[in-house]
Amino acid sequence: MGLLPPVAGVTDGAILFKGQDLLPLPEQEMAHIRGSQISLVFQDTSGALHPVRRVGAQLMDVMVSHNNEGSRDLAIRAFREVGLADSERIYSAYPHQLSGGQKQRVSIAQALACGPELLVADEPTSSLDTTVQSEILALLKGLQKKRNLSLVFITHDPAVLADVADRIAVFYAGELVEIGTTNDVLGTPFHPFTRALLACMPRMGSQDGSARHLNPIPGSAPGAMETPLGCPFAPRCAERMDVCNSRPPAPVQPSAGRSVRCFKYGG
Amino acid sequence: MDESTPLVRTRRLTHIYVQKQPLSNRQFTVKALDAVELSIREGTQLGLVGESGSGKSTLGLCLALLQRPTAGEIWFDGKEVSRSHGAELRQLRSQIQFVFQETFSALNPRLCAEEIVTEPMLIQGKSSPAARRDRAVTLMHEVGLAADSLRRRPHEFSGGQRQRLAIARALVMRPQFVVLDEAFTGLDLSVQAQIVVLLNSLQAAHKLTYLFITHDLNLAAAICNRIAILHRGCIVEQGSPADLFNRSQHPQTRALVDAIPGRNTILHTSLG
Amino acid sequence: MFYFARRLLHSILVLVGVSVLSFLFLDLAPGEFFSDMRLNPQISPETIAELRSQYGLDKPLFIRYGVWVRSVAKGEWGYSFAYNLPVAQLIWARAGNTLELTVSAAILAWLIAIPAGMRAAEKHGGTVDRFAAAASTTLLAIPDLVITLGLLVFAVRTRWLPVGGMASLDAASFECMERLKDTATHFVLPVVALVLATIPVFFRHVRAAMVEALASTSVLAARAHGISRNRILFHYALRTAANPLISLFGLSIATLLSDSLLVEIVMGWPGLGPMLLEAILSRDLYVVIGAVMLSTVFLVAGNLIADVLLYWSDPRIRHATT
Repeated sequence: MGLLPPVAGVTDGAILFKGQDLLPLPEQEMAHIRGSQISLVFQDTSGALHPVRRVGAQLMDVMVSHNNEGSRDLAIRAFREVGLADSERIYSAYPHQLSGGQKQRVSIAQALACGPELLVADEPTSSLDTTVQSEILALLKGLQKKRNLSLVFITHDPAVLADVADRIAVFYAGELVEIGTTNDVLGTPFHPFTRALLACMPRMGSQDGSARHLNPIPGSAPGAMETPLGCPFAPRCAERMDVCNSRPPAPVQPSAGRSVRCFKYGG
Repeated sequence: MDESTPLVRTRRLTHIYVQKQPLSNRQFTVKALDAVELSIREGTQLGLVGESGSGKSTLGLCLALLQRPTAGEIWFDGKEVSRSHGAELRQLRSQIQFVFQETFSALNPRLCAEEIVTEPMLIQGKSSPAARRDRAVTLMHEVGLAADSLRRRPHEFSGGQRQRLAIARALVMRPQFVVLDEAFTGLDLSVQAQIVVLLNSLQAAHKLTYLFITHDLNLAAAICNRIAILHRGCIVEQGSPADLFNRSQHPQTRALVDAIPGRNTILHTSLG
Repeated sequence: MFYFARRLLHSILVLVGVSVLSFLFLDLAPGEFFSDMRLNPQISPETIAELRSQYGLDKPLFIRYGVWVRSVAKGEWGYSFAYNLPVAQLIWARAGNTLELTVSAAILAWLIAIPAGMRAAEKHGGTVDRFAAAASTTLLAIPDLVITLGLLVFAVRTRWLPVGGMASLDAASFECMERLKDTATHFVLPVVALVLATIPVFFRHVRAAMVEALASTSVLAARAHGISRNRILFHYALRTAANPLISLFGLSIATLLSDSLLVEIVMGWPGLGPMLLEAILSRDLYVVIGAVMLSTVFLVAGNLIADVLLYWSDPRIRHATT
């Protein structure tokens, strides 16, 4: 979305949106695309809203900035659409008067105000209670169906994706290591990292609560500054082979619709 | 101590927050805890599950003697301790420890790891610098941190490592009872799993008793053999994870169970 | 509303405290108004004693204080020994001159600092920013006295502007327009001196507050929603930056009477400064007390105004429950 901080930059490759590469676009055009075609919802529910302005005005800001008519009625209707029942009161409220779930709904309303086709949600429920999380997930699913939205849902919790996603892409150390449908990736994971990650998910297991089923992955992910020679997951991989340290694996397609970067499947 | 007497017990524990609006003389009262009755047996772990605002942090703070409750009793190791102060309280502090959620603000950013971990020793007095360093090295080893990172400051550690540091600090005085308030929130799944395994091994090694406070019922069910559900300051249900998942009586519990993500999907069978 | 009632009470206490301390310090200072007169052999001790009792200087301190408080309550602020005029009359005239200077300088300084600070923050690290930062550091490093003297030297050398004072010697004979122009040209240098002295601090604070505001998550989110740059600058970043700036603005008001002391004295601007200096040196008691009290009123009012503005602009403070 062209929002990287000044210290970071895209060095290679292209981002194709509806056939057009977004990377070389000037800031002005990107600003126009943001909100009206591609939108973003953040993890930080409190920080994403301006603390000193009423929430209704912030929603109208989005509408007005894209040269749409911004009216109070439209805003209230938008709030109702994201499940805020008390939308009249919410319109005049300040962010600190709202709960975490309500604030996230407001952010979602802002993101969808100008009818984008792609919504990127960056850990939108990570800071919320489980009950609120399930409500927001249901909301996103509903909105996605209703508006025919494309949704990119970023999270560290595979369980959430099981509910929400059609396809799952697994990232490790900045690389896409596995991609496939939800059922495939969660049911029969190919990449060792995916398998190990799923083994870390807490499950109600042994009665003595010792969580014996949990098998944490030893070590930790490589830092941003490290550039490993071979496969970045090799140091922590239980199924490591010699070739894994020599060069990074190329993506292969072991079956239809699935792609993996692992020497076990070729590459 | 008698096997059947719980290590920690509360009786009608109540806490009311009084908030004063600065621009007027009106006062708000918020009943954070309402006659809470809990008991935790030695060597076990209780999971306290509740939504935000349910009062779970308040309960944790009261049990760790960091907050004096408005009313009710807290029994620790056969003694009523809710009104302790002075030398008695100091003694209790080495037996009951608290691990906070927000590691970044719980660890003094100006101190290095060694100082953070051994600060309780310094406060309790009667220890030499050499003894403190030895203990720091031992603890770092136990929580899985490199001993040569003793001179690093909190911001040089990752989130998971900071949590380990906080746990090391909690263990330095050899406590019996540790309260962990949302100790896993904000950690990646794999880091979370590592911390869970670490806490398990520490419990076995030191005969610890844990109170896990969390809003994640699934996590609590995985790591505790008893769970208490707190709703608006009241314990609405208690039991083993299986009881709560399959034979729950209370609508709040049902709501929490239903909210667990991934329950009706391919992950269902593995989530139990 | 209890909050503001309490603040008002605080302010009154401050005023009382300042008045007591002023009396005390002046009394503790060696000498008094008539000390010089004593040295003059032509004035007999009896005359001096009579003058002293006329002005009440032979009474103990707290009686003098009591008398002063009573007359203040009636609206009379005492008499100046030197000018033989009521203090209030003297002070109002001079204070007016000072305020002309300081209010204009403050308005100008803020009008320049805010856009400059915003611009510097938005493209921080860029040429405008670096130039402005260098300029403000330089100005901060140079003592105000040197700046003021430097301007005077500039006036002397170029003869474009009058060197000090508020009006030319023959100003009384000027007609209206000419007198206006005359005052205006005399006005320029002191105002410039004041602006140069105060602008660096304003600029730096604006810039710092804006940089922090622009780095906040809410601005990032606003950008992500495609909100226009101007809207973000003014409605988001500036609003966030407003809190520390409002406090600074309160300080501006608070120092309206005291900031220009140096400039007035060096440039001969007939404001409160020179009069206060003279009065202190000659122990013209009630003039000093009057001027100090007036300054304190401004100080207290400035802080109070800042509090009111903060309360009005930040809903979090209004709705605070803890």
